[in-house]
Amino acid sequence: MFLTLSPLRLVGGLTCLLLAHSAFAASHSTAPLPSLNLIDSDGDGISDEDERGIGTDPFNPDTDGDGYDDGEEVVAGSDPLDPHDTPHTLILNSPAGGLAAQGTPAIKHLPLSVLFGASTRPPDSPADPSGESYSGQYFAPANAPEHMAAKLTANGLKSGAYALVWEQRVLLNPRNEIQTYEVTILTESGRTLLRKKTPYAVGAEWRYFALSFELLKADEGRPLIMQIIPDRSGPGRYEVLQVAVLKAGLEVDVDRDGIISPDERPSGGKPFRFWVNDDSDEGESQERADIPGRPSGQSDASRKGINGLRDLIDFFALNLNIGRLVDTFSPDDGYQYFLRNEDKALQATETGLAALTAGSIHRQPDIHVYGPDGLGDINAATVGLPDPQGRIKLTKAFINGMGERNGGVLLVEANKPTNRPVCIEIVNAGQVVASFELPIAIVPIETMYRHLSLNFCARDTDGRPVLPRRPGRPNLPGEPAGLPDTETTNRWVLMIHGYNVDGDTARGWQAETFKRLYTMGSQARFVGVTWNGDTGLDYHKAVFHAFQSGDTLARSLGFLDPARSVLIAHSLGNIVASQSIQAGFTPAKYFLLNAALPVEAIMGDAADSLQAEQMTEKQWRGYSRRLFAADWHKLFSLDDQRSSYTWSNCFDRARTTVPLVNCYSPGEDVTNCPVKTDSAAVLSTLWEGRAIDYGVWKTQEMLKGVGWARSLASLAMERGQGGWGFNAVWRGAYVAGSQSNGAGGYYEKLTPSQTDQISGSQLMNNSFFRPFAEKRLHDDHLRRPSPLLDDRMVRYDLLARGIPALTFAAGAVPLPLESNLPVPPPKHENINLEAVGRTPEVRWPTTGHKADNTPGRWLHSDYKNVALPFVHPLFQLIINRGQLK
Amino acid sequence: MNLLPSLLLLVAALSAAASEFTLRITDEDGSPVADAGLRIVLGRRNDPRYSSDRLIENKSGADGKFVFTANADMGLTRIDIKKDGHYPCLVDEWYGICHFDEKQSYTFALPRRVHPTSLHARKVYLRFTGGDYPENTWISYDFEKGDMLPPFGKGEVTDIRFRTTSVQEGWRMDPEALAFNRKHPDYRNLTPEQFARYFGHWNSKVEIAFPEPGSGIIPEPRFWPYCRLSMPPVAPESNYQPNLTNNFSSRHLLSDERKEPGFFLRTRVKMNADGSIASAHYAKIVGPISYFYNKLRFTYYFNAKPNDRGLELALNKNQLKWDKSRPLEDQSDLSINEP
Repeated sequence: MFLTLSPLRLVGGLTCLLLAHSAFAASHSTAPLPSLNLIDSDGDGISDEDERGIGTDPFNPDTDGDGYDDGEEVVAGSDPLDPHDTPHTLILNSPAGGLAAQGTPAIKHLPLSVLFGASTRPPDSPADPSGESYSGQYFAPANAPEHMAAKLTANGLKSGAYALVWEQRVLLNPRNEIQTYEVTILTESGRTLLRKKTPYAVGAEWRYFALSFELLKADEGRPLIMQIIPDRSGPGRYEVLQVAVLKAGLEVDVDRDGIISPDERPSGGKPFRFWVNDDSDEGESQERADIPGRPSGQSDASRKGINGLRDLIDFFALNLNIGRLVDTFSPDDGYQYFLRNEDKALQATETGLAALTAGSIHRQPDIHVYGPDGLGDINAATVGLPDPQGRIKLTKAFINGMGERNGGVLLVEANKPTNRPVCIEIVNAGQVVASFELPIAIVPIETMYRHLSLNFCARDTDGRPVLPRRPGRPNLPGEPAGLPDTETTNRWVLMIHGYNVDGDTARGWQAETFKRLYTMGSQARFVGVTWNGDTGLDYHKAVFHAFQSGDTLARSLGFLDPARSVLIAHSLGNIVASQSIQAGFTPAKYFLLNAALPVEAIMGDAADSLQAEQMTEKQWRGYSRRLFAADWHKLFSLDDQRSSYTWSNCFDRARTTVPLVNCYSPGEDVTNCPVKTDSAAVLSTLWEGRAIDYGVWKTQEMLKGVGWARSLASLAMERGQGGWGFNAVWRGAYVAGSQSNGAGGYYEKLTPSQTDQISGSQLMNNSFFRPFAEKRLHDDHLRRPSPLLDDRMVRYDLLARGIPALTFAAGAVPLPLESNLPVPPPKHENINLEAVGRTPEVRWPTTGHKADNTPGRWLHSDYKNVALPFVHPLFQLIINRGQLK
Repeated sequence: MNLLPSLLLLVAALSAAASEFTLRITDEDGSPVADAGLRIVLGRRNDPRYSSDRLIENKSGADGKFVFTANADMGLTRIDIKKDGHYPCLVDEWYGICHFDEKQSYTFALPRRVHPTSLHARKVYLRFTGGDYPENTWISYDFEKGDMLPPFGKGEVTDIRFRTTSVQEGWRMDPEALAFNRKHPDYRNLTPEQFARYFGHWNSKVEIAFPEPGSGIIPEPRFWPYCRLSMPPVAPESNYQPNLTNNFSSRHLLSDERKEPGFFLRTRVKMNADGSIASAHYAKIVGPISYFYNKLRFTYYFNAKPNDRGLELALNKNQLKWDKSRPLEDQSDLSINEP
């Protein structure tokens, strides 16, 4: 009886056990291939020719007469010519000895002495630091005694993904049958972790095979029994050789912390969830490209390569933690590796990323990990497409690199939904010899979150519904099929878009915001909110709608817990958000992103003189503020509804009940209030479509109440009142025209000192500014309460169209937290996006970014337009502050 | 529709005369800086489009000047200035450069990069959770430890002392609004003192003093808030005054802090027998020392090396690390990014 240690080519494995029998090992390493003479005259499972070689009688199935057939003895390892040597089970019993390279997983082989039959661990062998131990049996199974079987018992294995690897051949196959082995992995208690018939056709040459399995936490450390047994008896001889357990599996960043940790994969039967890449990204900064559901040919997945840094959000990193198998299943020996999805839904690119840095694709703009050598920039990336079997062949260079790095990261995108797993298949001579799977669920992005449509709540001043031009998605507040509530925390995050966003474009805003939060680790339930802010050039009308939408929003949130909700609003969406708070909704946190909202609306009338002066229209500078539409409310007592016709404190509930995080950008374009803009005069009217983009918020405030003669832009407005218009009642002296008929004459304006004579009661009846459209508001005998005064729509209309703000928009300046009213119980915060919202010390996109003349600015919509690697600190901040993990 | 008035105005605007702009670049001492790279953005008055912006790129001459002309309806909105060996500047319209005069002249300081070094820098925000700010009490602060001295903190050496006093002067709102707020659920639990503190107008005074002779403070008029280094790189050698008093009124809350200069300080002074300075530490306070609503704020940089007057913080060399026990929200407010 001889047992020898066969050459082992399995390297890098965490655990490895070798079972070898001399006869088979000898034929494996040195013997010529067995002949294919299939004649077996005595039916003992050994061909006549082989019997002659061994020395047994080809016509006597039991040459030595010990009761065991010759073939059975050969398989079992006993001598078929010695009647005293009968088949028995070899017991190999040992804790694994260890050859542990420092800093790398241990490589463990059974000590030679054990393989020679020692039943205990050699006294001088070191203790296994991992606590793992193994014992193995090699035997001829009762159901198929002519074949060879193996049984391996492992103790102390940590939870995680493993591969059971072995080498196999058929030495004799007289009937040329396809024989399979049944591989079983059982727990100590008899629970089956894996039972699989090897589907592999086995030939005369030794060949490696592997099956993957996962050890759950509950089974960690307990004995595992692994058996490789021929599934039936029959002539011939199947042989199993080197059996090993290796750490191996596919891993993804399930918790989305940017690191793929060892054994990180979905658990509890949940798949790894991701979305179809069907938007249309390009470059580093882009507008209106995120609407999902684009048809093939327009969607990113149907276009070559990675479509710029913005497209990276639509790829997930898949770590192939199978590097330890590469030496065994070496490409140099003809093994090929494929990524496979049966639905042909996946496409992938190889990278030079490591598992621990996989998240850098979303955090660093200028990494060089793409292309054939894994060292190129993003333009070097080539995305492999699936063949008709859904397979993408991985390059030899990548596989060999994986062996060196102990793993490799693919970036994977999806061209359509699929629930079938992502697999890595190792193929040899056309046969799959090993397969590793990871359950995934690729879904349309919009099935991963809820949607609230407030698109139909807006009415005009006559109470008639204002229908949206593009309605967008319907109301879908129920549990999203693509990301069930069981896979999220019970925190909520609502996102409200801004002005000029139609129903379809809103889908893009929501999808992109969701993706960015999700990618950066948010585990909260996302709710996209659509409202009718798509009012063309009539911005004031959108403001009017925003107030109404805020009221509706507050009534529409019965499905969530406000105390666990975070509100995010962009631009004019902040009127919707703030009004919803004013109407009773009390979220746990409220992030204002580049808010198109005057500071005074939240912080009260603490407007500093600089801002008030800058926000005063040129023709009004020098006049007392008591003449302004913005201060008209001060003429009325607090019990008169007209005292609330002011932006000042109109959202004070937001200040006093909700912790605010005002994310502003000094380099803003839209809500910036430039000094150079001091009127809504003629050049402002030279609108080129919607190219108006600098200081437009201030321009809109300047436009309130201004007629077309002072600004053609006012023609776009549905309704003009109050604001910076003048009331003809208070005109000065008439200056006659120069023509003989007096034509061309005009009235002078009253000088500021002349206006000092106008009393408060006069201003109630006859304001100095252009009278409000609801003329009865100027009646100082208006009976209270009155339907007119009680009509919230009247107030919204006045704020939207007739009362200019005298403070800057919060989107471009910090809220004056230090200098305002009570230290509120909530802790408010200002975030300068240009300072802390973006990746520090790196360039800022210019291509596709409209502020070419002003490089480095964080523009109005950059939180969404600029690729995530540049702006990820903002999302990290939202997640941290909002406790969305 | 009569478009004539608008069209006339348009024609007038487009045919506007030219303005002459003179930019002068100097170092911190007023000496001209030649060859400074200038990137100048002009915007057309009342034109809310980026496309109307004009970009001029050039360099300052030997006399530190750059002169150019533009249409009279164009105003300066942004100027980037860079030169090796100097700290860069970014001047935007909020620093008062957007005018439409025929002749405009501006001087910008581009302080030299002398010797960036390790400093102890912190934005201080003195709050007393669970109680009001202790007025009429001297509070000592240790720059090196970044903390107040006991009983308020764990500081060990007094670098600077503060004492604040406040007097109410009327109310911020009319009696009716006050009555409304007294009943308001958010405020009705306030004590009368707290209510007065929140809704009253207050005149406050902050006295600044030092524990030993020779230590003191100097207001520094040279202050360039648009520059990466907003004060001169080196503290002055002498003329430190032993105390300083700042007055504040809640009627003028929102002063523009970007325009308020800072201070240089000399602390921990040891004197020779002849009254000369044997050893001292130098520091700067960038921007104002402000006190409103129970909160004292200032931003300081302290050089822990004795007698080294250099006060440029080198990148990543702030010796006061972020205290993780503090609220996360404070980090963005209080971390130091500037030299």
